[in-house]
Amino acid sequence: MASATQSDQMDRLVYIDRPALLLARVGRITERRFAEELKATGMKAAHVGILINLRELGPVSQQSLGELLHIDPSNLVALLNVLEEEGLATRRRDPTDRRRHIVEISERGFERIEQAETPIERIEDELLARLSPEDREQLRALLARILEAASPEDLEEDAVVPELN
Amino acid sequence: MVESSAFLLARLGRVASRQLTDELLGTGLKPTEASILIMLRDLGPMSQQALGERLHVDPSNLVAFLNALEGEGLLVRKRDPSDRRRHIVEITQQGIKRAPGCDECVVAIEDQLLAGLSAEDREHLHRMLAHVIETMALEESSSDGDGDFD
Repeated sequence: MASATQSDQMDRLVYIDRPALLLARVGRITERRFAEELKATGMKAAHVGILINLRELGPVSQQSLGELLHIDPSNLVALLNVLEEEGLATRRRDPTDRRRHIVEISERGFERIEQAETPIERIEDELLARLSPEDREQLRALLARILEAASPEDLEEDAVVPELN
Repeated sequence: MVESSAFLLARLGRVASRQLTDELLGTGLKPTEASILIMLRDLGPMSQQALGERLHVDPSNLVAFLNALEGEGLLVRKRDPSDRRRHIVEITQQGIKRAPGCDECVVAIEDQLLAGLSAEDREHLHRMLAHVIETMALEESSSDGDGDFD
């Protein structure tokens, strides 16, 4: 089953250039660039990602947020704890269902995300400099599909970032 | 989902690295160590610097990985006869024997990660990631970062 879907071209690749290893390497470079560029904002990429989504979504249940972003529930709790402590997002009980939490970005969160926007655009432009607009969109779509297909176990521990620095 | 490609790449890179770490447990090697072996086998002997640049591992981390691999007899480091300050890294017979086990792990996690993609999509993804890597390699040759792989 493993190689049934692999094309001849893929089989001829030297192993070091296989997509899985390229993905790990590109990911590592991207994380390094995030760390450098976001240093001034005091946030890590995972926090910024959540805030950006909260800004777009408006108030949203914690569960929907986790499902949408494919973040494991316990990781999401850890990330939201940090955002809440920093006053960047708030959590409150859903009045219609007391077991649910509604998450919302705060004014301070809006301000903080603005600081992060330019560095993020810079990283994105650097990474995708050689891709056409069509390829950029295709890449994003393919990456999103891979992430959506990843099993919950694969995503465990992902995005675990204990605190802002 | 409004995540940009940069976020997705960072997350999927972590997922891939972690899957590879798990998959490689039986081989006793870390992802970077396995990548070093595979690269030396695929591309032949190369300078320590070239190896670090191609794998995007910074020099101080690379030294630790090379020490571990050399200690296990999987590679050797020699002085470059044309420039005594440089080290050339070469895989040993023992290393060549260990590499296929690493290949299998790479293929296994790739099939897991890319299970939903057609052969055409995989090739397209591969081509685009190769472009991204090339672009970043140019960027990095002028500025040095300090991230580590695992």
